[in-house]
Amino acid sequence: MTTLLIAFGLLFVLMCFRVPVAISIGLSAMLAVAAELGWKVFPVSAQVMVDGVNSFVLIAAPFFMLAGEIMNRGGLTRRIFRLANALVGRLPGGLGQVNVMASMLFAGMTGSAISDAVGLGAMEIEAMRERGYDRKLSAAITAASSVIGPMIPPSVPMVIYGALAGVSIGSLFLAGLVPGILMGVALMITVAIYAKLGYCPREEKVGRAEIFGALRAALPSLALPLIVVGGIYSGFFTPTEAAVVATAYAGVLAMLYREISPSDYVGILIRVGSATGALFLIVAATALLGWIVTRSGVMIEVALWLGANVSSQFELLLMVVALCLVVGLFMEPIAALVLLVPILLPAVKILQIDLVHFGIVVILSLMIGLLTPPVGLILFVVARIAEISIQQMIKAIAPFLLTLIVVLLILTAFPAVVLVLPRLAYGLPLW
Amino acid sequence: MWNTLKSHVTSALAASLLVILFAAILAQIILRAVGHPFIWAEEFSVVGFIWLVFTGAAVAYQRTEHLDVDLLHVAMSKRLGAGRMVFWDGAILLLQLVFLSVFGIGLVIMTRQTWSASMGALEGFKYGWIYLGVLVAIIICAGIVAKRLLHAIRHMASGARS
Repeated sequence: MTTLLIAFGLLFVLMCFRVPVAISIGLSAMLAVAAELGWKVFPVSAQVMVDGVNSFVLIAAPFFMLAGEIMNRGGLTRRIFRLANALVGRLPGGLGQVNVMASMLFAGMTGSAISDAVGLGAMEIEAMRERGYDRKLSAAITAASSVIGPMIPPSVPMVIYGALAGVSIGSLFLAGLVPGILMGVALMITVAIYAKLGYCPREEKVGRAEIFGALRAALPSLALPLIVVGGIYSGFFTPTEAAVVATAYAGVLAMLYREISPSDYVGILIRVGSATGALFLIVAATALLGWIVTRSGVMIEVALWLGANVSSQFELLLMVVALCLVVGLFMEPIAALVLLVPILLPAVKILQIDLVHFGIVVILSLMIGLLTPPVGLILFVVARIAEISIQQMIKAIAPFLLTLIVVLLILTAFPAVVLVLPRLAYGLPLW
Repeated sequence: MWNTLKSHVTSALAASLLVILFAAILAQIILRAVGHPFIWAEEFSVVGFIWLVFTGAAVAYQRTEHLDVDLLHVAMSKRLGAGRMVFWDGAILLLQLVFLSVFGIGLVIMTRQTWSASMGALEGFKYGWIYLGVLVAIIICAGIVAKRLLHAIRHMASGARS
């Protein structure tokens, strides 16, 4: 146990000192393994880290990223923004509402919060700045709405959770839809409150012709999540195959729109290759840390402690939410997911909590960590795009963070909200 | 030679692996639909993915895209100045080299141990080849880090002389 505590201490020190996250996790885990097993640290590190990415299901992640990147470069982002503007631009909050709606629509293409923040962020913040919106408010809405990305299918964190917990990714994708929409609606209400307080300029009403024109232009890209979820649900393809089909579909659309040249594809492939390496090196290193945590018997102790002290499913889920929000402050979400899920799973199974509900709650709790310092990646990315300081960004995002936490608590307390679609789809009773 | 390897071959390899994976999985869907499934497609894809992850990690090293938390670093560089921060950056690179070395030595051991072990559906393909592929990617990562470390050391030395 002492070795583990030292390893976790080292992990946070290394991360604070700007050692890359994957290397910080890997080095701390190697130290713990060396303390336990001596020279065997060499073969164990290699075997466990390679095994950590030895999964067919995980291959879905780079292809969802690839599909999103092709969509983004192929002019789809612009079409989605136009559609969002036509649909909700006239509501109180104008471009703030458009920002949230565009994130909800874009979420059906990328499945990653960071892709959303980077892909749409620059365009949204620039458009809002031109219309006279406060830069801090634009940045806060952009950052908060990007967290919808991993909730609406397809979703990279759901693929990873599904592989870790042995849960149907099709069910997870269906389960994420209602929470994603709920998050969007809650953020739109928050924007409307800002508009009532006089922070947002009023936008002009859009004609019916523009709404239909924008819908026609964006419709092919909106079909992508339907193809993914429909294909998996009908049993026609596995999640990994669905990701490849999504990529092929994105490629065909981009070809039809003629906005990507062959040389652009090379750049896209290299960028996705790099992103895959950066993301899954974290997964591999966390697998090693998880291995040594498992070996130490912490999982059994945690399960026994929770069994003795927690009496209801809700109580356990609340503790999980609190734990994930705290861990999310200091750890990259995917690393936290790979580390925490195997530790918490035995206790969750003992209390017979639905693993799909648990997955959605854990993923959202950890994704909120992307908006909180000191490791809130989206906070930094969006602050840089909006050219504001981190302190300004933290202050501006606080109300939106509160909104997301309220949604998280609703999802935690009412499993039916999360499970309604998978249960309907698989013909199970709703309650 | 090293620069060519660093800037083009690794990126080309990662991009090619993505294309190969895409083609293999798409072929699997199509062939299964017409009643002729690939029995080895899944294992082949997993091997390709493992290589993609670590080759991609090398590309991320080239492009300095590995995720890090720079809050303290940025704050300190304002106070200490670029000259002193070279020591800090050198220490970060050294730690990365330690990680890559431990991993690399482990990969050599695992390659030797599994060199003759065959995979299930992929006839003739040895487990050792998976580790060998990862080892090549990790050597490239280590090369990139070592080059940056040498650059930092030279910078420190020239700073000390002046």
